[in-house]
Amino acid sequence: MKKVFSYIMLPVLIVLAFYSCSKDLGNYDYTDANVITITTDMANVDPAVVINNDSLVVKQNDSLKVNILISQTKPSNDLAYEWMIIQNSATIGNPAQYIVGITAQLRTKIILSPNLYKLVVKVTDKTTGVSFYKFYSLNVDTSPWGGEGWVVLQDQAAQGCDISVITTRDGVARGNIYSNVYSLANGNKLPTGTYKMNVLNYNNTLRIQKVSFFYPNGGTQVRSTDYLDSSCSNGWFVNLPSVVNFESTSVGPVNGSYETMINNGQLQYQIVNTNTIKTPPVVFGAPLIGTWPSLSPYFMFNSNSSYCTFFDEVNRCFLHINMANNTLIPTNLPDVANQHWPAYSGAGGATNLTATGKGFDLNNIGRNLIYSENAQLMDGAISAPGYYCIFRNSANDSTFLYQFTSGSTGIANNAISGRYFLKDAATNVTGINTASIFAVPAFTASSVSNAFYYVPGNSTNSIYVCNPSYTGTMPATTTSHLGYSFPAGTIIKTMKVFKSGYTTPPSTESRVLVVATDETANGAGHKVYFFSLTATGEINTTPANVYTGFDKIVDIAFKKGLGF
Amino acid sequence: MKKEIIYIIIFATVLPFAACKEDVPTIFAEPDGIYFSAPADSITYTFAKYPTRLSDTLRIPVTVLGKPTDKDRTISLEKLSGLDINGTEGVHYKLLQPYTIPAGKVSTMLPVVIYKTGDMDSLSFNFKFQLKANENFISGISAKTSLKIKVGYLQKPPTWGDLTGLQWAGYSTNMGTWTKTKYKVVLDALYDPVSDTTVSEFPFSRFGPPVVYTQYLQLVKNYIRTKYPGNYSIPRGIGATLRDPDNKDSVIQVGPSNY
Repeated sequence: MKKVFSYIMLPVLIVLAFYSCSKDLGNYDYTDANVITITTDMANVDPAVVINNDSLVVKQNDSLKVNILISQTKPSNDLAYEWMIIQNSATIGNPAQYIVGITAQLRTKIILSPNLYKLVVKVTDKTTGVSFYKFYSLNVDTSPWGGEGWVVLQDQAAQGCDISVITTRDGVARGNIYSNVYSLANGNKLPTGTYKMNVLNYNNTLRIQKVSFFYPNGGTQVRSTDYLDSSCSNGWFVNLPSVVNFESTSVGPVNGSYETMINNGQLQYQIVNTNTIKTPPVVFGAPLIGTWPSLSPYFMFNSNSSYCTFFDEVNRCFLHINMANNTLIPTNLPDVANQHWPAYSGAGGATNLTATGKGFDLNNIGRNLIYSENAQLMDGAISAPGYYCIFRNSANDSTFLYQFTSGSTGIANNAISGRYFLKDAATNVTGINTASIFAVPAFTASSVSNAFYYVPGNSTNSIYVCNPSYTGTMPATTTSHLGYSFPAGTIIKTMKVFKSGYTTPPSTESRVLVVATDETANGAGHKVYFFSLTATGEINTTPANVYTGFDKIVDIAFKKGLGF
Repeated sequence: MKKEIIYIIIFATVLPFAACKEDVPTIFAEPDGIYFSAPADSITYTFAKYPTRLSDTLRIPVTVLGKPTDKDRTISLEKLSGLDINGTEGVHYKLLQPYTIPAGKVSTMLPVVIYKTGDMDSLSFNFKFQLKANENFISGISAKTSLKIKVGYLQKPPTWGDLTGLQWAGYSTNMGTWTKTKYKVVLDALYDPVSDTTVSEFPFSRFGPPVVYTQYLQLVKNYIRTKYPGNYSIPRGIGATLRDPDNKDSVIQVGPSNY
């Protein structure tokens, strides 16, 4: 047995002992990895596309060529490249066109929707596995008429309706006119009777813009970059309303999340944000039914949340709704017509509500709302912007301006000023009782503009500037004056103050009045005028620009550049 | 000693060969088995989802553990009894025997007719079936040879919750406390005649539910306001009014709920 151990087991154990021990030849010297620096080869690119080392602009369906230069601290030829396009905002998913190249120099075709993206190039040293990145701002552009400009909706009689685009923001720089761009995209016209055009800008991180048209018994949404039809109103609702009578639509300012619509006097809304778009369909909910038989088609949003004030045009009182949970504010009061707010509590009591008073009771306006627009900039800094509301009595012989201050919760029913009687007289507010076209500027975020414009129904070629005032003997203290007069026979069709929707308003924000006219009686056709406004709201009588060559103008709207 | 070493070496050399033997595949010669191929051991059906239906047909999947054959094969199915079985054949359900596996197939659906009965307002009904061995099949997967069917209508969905809980439907600002009467009006309000279905289940959590459920809540509120204006009139009860016998005859309000 000893021999068995000596000859068999012992050699095996000895061999195993040697086998398990070997010299460690590992390298424990630490050396720096190859550091790669990526820059753009500006000498070999199209300067119209590669704007600088970090910015690219390319039109949809165009090719994109980007050459990069690589510098390395430890030059290696074993590099891997990957080019990716990602969303500009981290909260949104990556676009469909994601990895676009794996070579050093990018050669690809951009088929993404026009928008702002990021192009990323990743260079990996395969010997170390370490990657280095460079990010570009990639602006996928569209046709000139798909970008920023004023959209002009026109009635082309038997043919139907179509739109033109004036590629100017504020009339300061002269733009081009692109005509019939709806039919250019779709091969057909908008239905005859199309009466309203809407451009809505959702939350700017979402980078979605909605353009839609309303016509009798329906509506159409188009892509904002080329006006190609994208949906019809049958698919806009969780339950299609039994009566389709689209009156107005809007979206909450600044945060651009709550999209509202008044259909046949009832409020419906949908929430469009980074969460809801992940669980489509995003559609208008059921109407908020309450003691209000019919709401006026005006939205008085607070600056950046879900709160919005409406006017019950039957009971003629204000309502304040939190759309986040469909509740009336204040929440402690039941839904009773003319009792949605606490009883009027203005200092001085009911005297404020008499004919010579200046206050008003939110529960009992007792007049019809003719028009409403914000008179204070809504940049998000001021949560409760003021609105100018034009009221008129049922006999159409008395018109009033009410300054309503919006808000979220806690809007007090105690206004002791803000109601102005607009007496229709040559020395007061001439023609106001027949006016149906209004526009309100908003010069600052800190106070209301103290001016509005109107076109008397009996003088349709004139724009009057009205400055509400308590100077004089109550109640008829406010006066107006002629701001601009077009040639006799001109019919002003519509006018709007330039309110851009940009988070950071441009310097011309609310300093431009855009007016559409029908001058066919003078053989001058249909025109769009851009007037600059002074800081006090006066109209510069020399138009900044005039655009001609339109068909009968129905509506105008500013469409800001996508992604801004 | 030399001999011993030689024997050890010979033994060590022969041993590996002795350990290796070709593995011949065994022939599967057993009769085909059969089993319920439902994903769980029970199937739950609620008429709440289809409020206008008085009966429906469940299709229960069965699968053969074996190969298809060139002729139809009869399946033997028997009902089971037990403490938890309260469904009655002919009243709550009907088997459409005989059941067969068609020629050339290894799976099929067994139709079972179920009926909405008046007693389903307060009770759900259970019945259970067993696949029996016969001349065509032996029992397949033993854990899947029986299947329980649960049929109900106006039972509180497990995701409803309560006034102060974390679940969406029962929370005070939404539907509130579950009762049969309230649930019935919710089902009616959300009924879609095109798809012949309604919404009978709701999000588990009230935090960040899909936005469509907020819209459903408004639909229910509008339905009650329109059909039963007395539920929201001041004072209550002016016009048609829907009261809840399961909650002290209170009027029913949702979004927010009054109980």
